[in-house]
Amino acid sequence: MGNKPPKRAERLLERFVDDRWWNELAGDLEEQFIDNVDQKGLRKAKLIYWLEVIRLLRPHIFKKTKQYNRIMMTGNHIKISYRNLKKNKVYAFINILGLSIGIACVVLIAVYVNYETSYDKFFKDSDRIYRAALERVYPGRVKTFGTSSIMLAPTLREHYPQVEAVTRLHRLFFNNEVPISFPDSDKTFTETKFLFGDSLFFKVFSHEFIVGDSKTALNNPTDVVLTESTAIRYFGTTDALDKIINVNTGTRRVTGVIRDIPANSHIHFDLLGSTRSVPPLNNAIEIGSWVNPWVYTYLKLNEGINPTDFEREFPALVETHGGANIAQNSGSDWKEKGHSYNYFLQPIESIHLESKLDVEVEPNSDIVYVYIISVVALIILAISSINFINLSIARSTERAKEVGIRKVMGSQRSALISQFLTESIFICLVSSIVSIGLVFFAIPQFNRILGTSLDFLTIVQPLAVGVLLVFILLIGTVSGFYPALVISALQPSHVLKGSYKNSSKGIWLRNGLIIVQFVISIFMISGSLIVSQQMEYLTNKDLGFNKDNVLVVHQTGRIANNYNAFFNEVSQISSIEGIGGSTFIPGEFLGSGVFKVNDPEVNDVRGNTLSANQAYLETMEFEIVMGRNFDRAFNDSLSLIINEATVQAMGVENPIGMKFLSNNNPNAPTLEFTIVGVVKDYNFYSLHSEIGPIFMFYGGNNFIPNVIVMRINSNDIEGTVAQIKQEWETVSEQPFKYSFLDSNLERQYESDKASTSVFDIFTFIAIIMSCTGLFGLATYVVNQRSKEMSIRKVLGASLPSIITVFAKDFLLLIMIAFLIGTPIAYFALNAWLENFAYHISIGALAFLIAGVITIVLVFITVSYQGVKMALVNPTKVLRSE
Amino acid sequence: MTQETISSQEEIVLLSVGSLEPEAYAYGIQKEIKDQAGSNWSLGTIHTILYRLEKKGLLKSAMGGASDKRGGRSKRLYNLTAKGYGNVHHVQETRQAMWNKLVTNKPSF
Repeated sequence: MGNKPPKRAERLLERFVDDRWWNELAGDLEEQFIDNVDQKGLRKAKLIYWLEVIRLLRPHIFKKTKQYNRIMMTGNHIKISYRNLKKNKVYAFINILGLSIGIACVVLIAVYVNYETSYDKFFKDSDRIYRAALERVYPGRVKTFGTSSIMLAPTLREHYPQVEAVTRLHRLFFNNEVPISFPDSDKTFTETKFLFGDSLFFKVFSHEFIVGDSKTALNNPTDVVLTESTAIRYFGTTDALDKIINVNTGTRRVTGVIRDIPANSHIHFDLLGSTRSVPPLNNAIEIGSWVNPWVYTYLKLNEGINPTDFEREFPALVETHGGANIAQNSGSDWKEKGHSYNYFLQPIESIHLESKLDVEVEPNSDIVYVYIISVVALIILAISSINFINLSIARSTERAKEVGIRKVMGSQRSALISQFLTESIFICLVSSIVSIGLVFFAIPQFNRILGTSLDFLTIVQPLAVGVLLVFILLIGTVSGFYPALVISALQPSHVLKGSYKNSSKGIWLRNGLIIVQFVISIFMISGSLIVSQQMEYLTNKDLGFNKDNVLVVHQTGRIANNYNAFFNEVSQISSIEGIGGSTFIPGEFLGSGVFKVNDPEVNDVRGNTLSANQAYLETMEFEIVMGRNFDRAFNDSLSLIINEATVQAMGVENPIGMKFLSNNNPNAPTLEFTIVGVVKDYNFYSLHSEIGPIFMFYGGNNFIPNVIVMRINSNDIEGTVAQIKQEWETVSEQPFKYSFLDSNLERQYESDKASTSVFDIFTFIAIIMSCTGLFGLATYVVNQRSKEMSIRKVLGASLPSIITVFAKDFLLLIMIAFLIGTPIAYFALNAWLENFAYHISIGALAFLIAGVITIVLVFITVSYQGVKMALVNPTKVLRSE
Repeated sequence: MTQETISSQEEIVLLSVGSLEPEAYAYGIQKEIKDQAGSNWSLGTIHTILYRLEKKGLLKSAMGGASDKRGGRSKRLYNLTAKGYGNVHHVQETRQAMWNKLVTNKPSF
């Protein structure tokens, strides 16, 4: 007889049934179960057992303990709560919706914060992986790079046993578009996420291999590792071992396919080649260069090694191993001159939120945004709790009679408090169920706006659910506590006589909370106005050139000999005004170098460089403030045009005719460039940063630019692009790649824009919630004063005057809130604007608008209720009593 | 003797206890009701009624009769009290009397 009744049902029985009954009942059930197994089979018998147990859970059988009493009372409280909600549907709706939005915001933000702080934690031993970043001190100036010298990794590997593994990562800083083709198919791709690692890359980073061996995958210069989706894109399968692909510098053999890299990493690549396939890196290794920060160095420290202690090794390391090479470049007295190379370690888990260096692998997020969004979520939660408290207090007069009767019937104060707390917790629970639904629908929208990949499932975890439950209990208790105290303290004799109804108890707290809400509303409205003004300012600021209708054609260097033919054909297109050439896509990475003038009075200048031709300056509409543009008619091959920032850095009045010496490469002969012109500062980069010095070299009369810019003088932009594309295809096999200058530039504000739009959405929610709270309150106040208003009406008051009476109370509160909210908003926004090198100044207008919007919203809310009241026939109201 | 008012459910349970004595316990009663009346009553229902009847003094109970089939647990065995017996008897007499009258009255359908 191996058939046992279901264990869990037995345990349930034991848990709830009083010992007096338990023995016999269990016996009866078991006897019945055994009979049923014989007659109906095991499954059915088990089912019947369960049903019988459930039907046995009857009050007289329950254990007679204190706990039991509490359960019974809680049951009653929940029943009363439910009835109360049903009785007043508007109130229930506002309360539950408001709270669920509040909770949903917090849950959403929790998911977001969890995501943002989870970056790179999926790597094995991620707590021991660090990036060696470089603080490069030049005489009188400091720059911090995420990159480091190519010699750092081998030095660490050879001489420092504290390091378990170390690897180098390289990305192409310019011209990062790599064309891909295949020997056995005519498919072509252009890849921008083509990074390079050395053979130990996968010793530090634990990417999971689908095929291939992580230990040998990047041993040869021709090896390449693909991600899963790239392999499928190329070959339709992940089984791509030993397949051949062609890149612009030769053929590559696939030696591994890894799982796609999760979104929450600061390194993403589609293809990972070998650092040894990048010629400049090989040269740098050959000469043992310590001065060029060209690769990212990641190291995994051994367990128990303290990173701060290890960091102290770096100065000696640079001196011992790099000193000779640095001396070659900057002279043996480089330290005395003020040069220094200070390496420091960044924990890989912190890079995404905290690292803001030059030359990051990918644009990082900012922990400030995480803080801001968290604060906003808490504000919304505060608003919804305030609504809840306000409405509860307001309704306490209505509940007063109930409390009076309960007290007369012998209810203890503690029982009343627990009743009201149960009620608020009950509402919180209902709200949280609704809020989970809201979050479920909000997450995809949130992902779309912020470009994140949040997952709803991250909150469906025991821990998260537990935290959420505690959190809900907390909100329920906190927001239910004050109303519970107030209501339970009522004197039955007063209440039942009806005197409480007109008392003003609790009104100051209520008003105080309303003021807090208005302060928040005013802050949020003026904040979002100023933020959007700033964004508008950034996108429309005079950048020093005309960014509209400029088409940028990429990779024109690839068509080499056919460039002139292409140029001539495109010049024929009537809708194109000018065609200028340059070496870099405007807004992307530029070359850089240090330049000095043969004059001790003039400062050396470090700046960004590019080559261009005459038409480039014309097409971009740079304004020439001194000197002249390049000119084909002159011999301009050693001419130089600089911007105003360079002039300022040089510290001279008139730089025209001065000669700059280039000393970029000690092996090449130093050239002497003559300054022929100065352009007004123009800004390709995000306006977070100020404009730096720029040097424009002349590309030469037979200049074949990497990038050409064309100004399109026609409304039919698509048609023009199609024409250019057609010309392109007659001269080149390569795909035609282009972009528009204005959208390139806007991309730099993407992270600002994303956070702004999130801010806007939350502002909207906050305002709506303040208004619903107010609406609930207004409803209540109007009901309470209905008799007064009816009497006013009978005595001849007009509709507007009745509404004014209602609105007056609230307007006073808004005034106070305005006085408090404005300075807070002013200081907070000023602090935010300081982040931008170019920003607007805050005017009074935004605050006035915020005040007016709040007043209008309040007026609408209150007068809706007021009008409803005022239109009622006074006899209906006054008839009763 | 004063009579308790009893429902028809209680009456059926009382009758079963009387007819099963001395082996009247909850599961036995459940089977008896199934056999005699053809209706399925849950143990919960029966137990509640037994509890109520005992409180009214129509039944008395004692523990006993453990068996292997019940996992060694004893049964609560119910007996009719005199009051209980009187009660069903009274109900029965009332019904019988009224039934006799009904039959002699020859109702037309």
